Order: sequence, then C-alpha cells, then structure tokens
Amino acid sequence: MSILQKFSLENKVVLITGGRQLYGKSSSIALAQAKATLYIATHSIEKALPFIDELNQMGGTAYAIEFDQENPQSIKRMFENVISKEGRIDVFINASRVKPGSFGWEQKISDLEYSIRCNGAAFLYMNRLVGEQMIKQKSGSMILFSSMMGLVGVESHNYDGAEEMKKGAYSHDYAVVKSGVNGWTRHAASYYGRYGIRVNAICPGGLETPDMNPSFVKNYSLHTQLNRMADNEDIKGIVVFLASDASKYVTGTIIPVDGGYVGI
Amino acid sequence: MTVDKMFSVKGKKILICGNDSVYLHSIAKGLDQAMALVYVCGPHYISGLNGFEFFELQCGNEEEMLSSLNLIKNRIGDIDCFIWADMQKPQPGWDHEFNVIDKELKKHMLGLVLSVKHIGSMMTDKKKGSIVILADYASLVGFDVNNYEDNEELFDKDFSLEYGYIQGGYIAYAKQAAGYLGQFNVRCNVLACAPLKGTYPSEFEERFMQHSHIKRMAVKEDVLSAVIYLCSDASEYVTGIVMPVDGGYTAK
Repeated sequence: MSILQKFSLENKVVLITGGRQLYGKSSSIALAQAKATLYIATHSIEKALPFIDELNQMGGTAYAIEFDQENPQSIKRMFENVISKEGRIDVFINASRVKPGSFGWEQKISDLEYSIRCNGAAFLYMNRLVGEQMIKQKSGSMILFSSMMGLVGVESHNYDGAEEMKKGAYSHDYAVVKSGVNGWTRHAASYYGRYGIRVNAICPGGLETPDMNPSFVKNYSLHTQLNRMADNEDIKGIVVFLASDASKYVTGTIIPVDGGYVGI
Repeated sequence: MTVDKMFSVKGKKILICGNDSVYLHSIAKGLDQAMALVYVCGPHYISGLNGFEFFELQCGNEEEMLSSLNLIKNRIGDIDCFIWADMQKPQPGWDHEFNVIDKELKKHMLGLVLSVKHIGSMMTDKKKGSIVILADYASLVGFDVNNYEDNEELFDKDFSLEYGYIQGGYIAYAKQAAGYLGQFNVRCNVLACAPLKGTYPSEFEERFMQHSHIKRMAVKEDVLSAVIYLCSDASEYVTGIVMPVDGGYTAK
C-alpha cells in the first residue's frame, strides 16, 4: 500500500457533530474528499441539506442525521440510527459546542451550568455511547475538538484595540470545558486502548473570520510562530490523519493546530 | 529577604476547601505546624480536624456561596491563600447515564470555578494572594490499566468516566484564572499529586513505583512541601503552572 493510500477514508463510516460550522465545516469537507461515508449530526436536517448536497457534488457520500445536544434521548437515537444503517461507526468526531448566554469573568452561574451540561456531560455521554459500539467492533477512532485555550490562558494584549471582543475572554466555562476534553482524552485513551480504540484531541488556534477586528487579528498573529491566524484549510490535514489508518499507532495525544501559539 | 523568611507561612490566613481526605488533613495540620492561620471549609463538616475553625461552604450554589464567603470574611478578614483540596472521586465505573455525568461534573467543576472566581476576587482588593488547586496526577496522564491487574474494584474507582475530565479541567482553568487574576497580583497554580503511600494496595504501589523515577510512593510531606512553596512568597513569580508531585511518574 502506498503511503498516501493510508490516508484514504474509503469504506470508513464517520459521524461528526458540529460538522456544519467553522472548523467542523472544514473537517466535513476534508472527510468527504477523503471518501468517507459521512454522517453530519445536526439540529436541523432541512438547514443541513444544501451543505450535504455540496459535499456529495464533491464526490463524497454524506448524510444528515438529526441530533439535539441538550437531549440525551436524541443523542442515543443519533447513534442508533447510524448503527442501524451502517452496522458500525469507525470514526466519531465530537466537534459541536453550545455557546452559553454570557461570557467573561462575570459569567452567570446558570450559563456555566448550561455549558457544563451541554459541552461537558453531553460530550462525555456521546463518547461513552460511541465507545460501546467501538468496543463491539474492537476498533475505532474518537477525535475530540478541544482548543488551544484548553492548554493556555488568555493573552490580554490580544484585545488591545479590540476591546469589544474582550468581553468574551476569561469565560469560566470555556477553559474548564476544553481543558476537561484534554484530560479526558488521556483518561479515555488508557481505558479504550485495550479494545483497539484510539482517542485523540485537536486544539485548534483562533480561526480568522471576515468580521474580526483587524487589531485582534494583528495582535493574535504576533503571538503565533507562523505570524497568522488559522484559515479554513489548516484543520483538514489533522482530521483526516487522525481518522485514517495513517495514525493507527497514535492515541492519547493532544495536538495543537495553532501556528505555534502555545509554543511561545 | 532570607530564604527562611521567603518560605515562611507564619501568620498567613489560609482557607482550605475540600472533603475528608488524607491530603486535606495532612495539609491543614502541616500548615498549622508551620504557624499559618488555617481555616477549613466545605459542604460538610470534616472530621478529625478538631481545633480548626470550620465554615460551611456550599459550592453548588452561587448565592449561598457568596453569603458563606461574606461570613468567612467578617470572621477572619482577608484570605492570603486558598487551597482547593477536593480529592473525592466521582461515582465508580464507566457506563454512566447522562444525569449522573451532569451531576458529577457540576459537583466538582462548579465548586472549583465558583470558589476561584469569588475568593480570587476577594484577594484582588489586597493585590496579593495565592490559590492552590490540588489535582491528581491523572490531570496530566491517563491511568495505566496495567497497574490495576486483578483489582476490578480499584479499576472501576479510578476509571470513573468523569474523572479524567474533571481533573483535566482543573489545568487550563487554573491558567485561565491566573491570566485574569495576575493583573491583581493574585496567583493560581495546580499541584498534580501522586497517590499517597498506603492509600492503594501494595500490588498497585509496586507497579506505580516501577514506573516512577523515584522508587517510592508519595508521602504527606511531599505534598505539604509543595503546598508551602506555592502559598509562600518563595513562589511569588510563579503562576498558571501545573507542578507534578509524583516522583517523576508523569515524566516518562
């Protein structure tokens, strides 16, 4: 087998949550291009359909599947539906995140509780359920979306000249939830390793979006070794690598894809 | 400043929050011996610490917590150091239902966040303070399944579904809090502790020691010394770190 064939996801069943937005969207495109049989879990099938069509036009095999991250029954149904159709799940990508209503150091406790429920408890519940299926298969790869904010604290000077963005910094929920993903990745890699299941986390850096304050983009870029924020292409390689057999000896890792932000 | 003075915690008001664990007991007693003014708080009375003033602190409710913290402040004044010593493990086992997971995460993570947020904010007025979060070495590495051979009960206890998430969560949260509180000269650090000698079966200890650089289990003084360092002025330029106290277990 040529080395590049190892990166192919042909015949692999991949389920992704949060696969329509930001990094999740880029991941879905990459997975479809790598020929995965892709299920995108979504709140609204109707809203997802144009994107599904787009993926299929690229040569992918993509489907939308309904799921509500706030509802454990819905989570359970999502897995049952994919398993009943495909008989297995080879790769599970947990990329969804529910945003709480308030941010920053003064974040409301009700929002913190909400975030822990949706981004913590639901996250673990999904992994636990897909883990049950992967144990039966004696194989599988879980790819968990963390953040470089799960590795380091906030750089306050990134917000110089972009004060309106600063209100989102220092949110209690984000750091504790993303750091939790990193801790759980190692914990679960130990637990699932004996079943041939791999668990890895990706810690992306900040994604530059068109509406972003240029001062923030400049300050943030200066804090990276590559002197830029992330673009939509940057996440694709690592997602396909971790989903594919090219990474079959890689587990329990926390991989920053951040242009070297946490390296300086 | 002499080195002795640098490490001194004499007269520092230290509030320890947690539950009935060997870590909390030995830290409270050790700091007391080092002549710190030690106070204990938590959701339930902690036995075996007669002579230490205890305050009830309900960590799952912000209003109740604020009211308890006001009481503490009125009683003891400014707090110099706060130690989070919740070493209780979540419900054993992996196959937890959603509501169990949610309950366990809130129990351990909300308490930490609210304590750090409000006690940290109290320290900002004084422009000095140190917060120390006690964590498990599991906050840095996964447990080694081989250490649990033939001991299913212990395996289930440590491989609780939520445990790695809770412990891991402490790490970046401390960095986040250090980032915010640093402007007020308030520090926040984590100690990632190995199990204390005698708290695990001997078979586990033997396997654990085989993997460590230093061929013994941790003793109470190892953790206490690190706590004293992080509470004292000897570490006044140290914040946002995770210090393993594990004989090098996580270093290989």
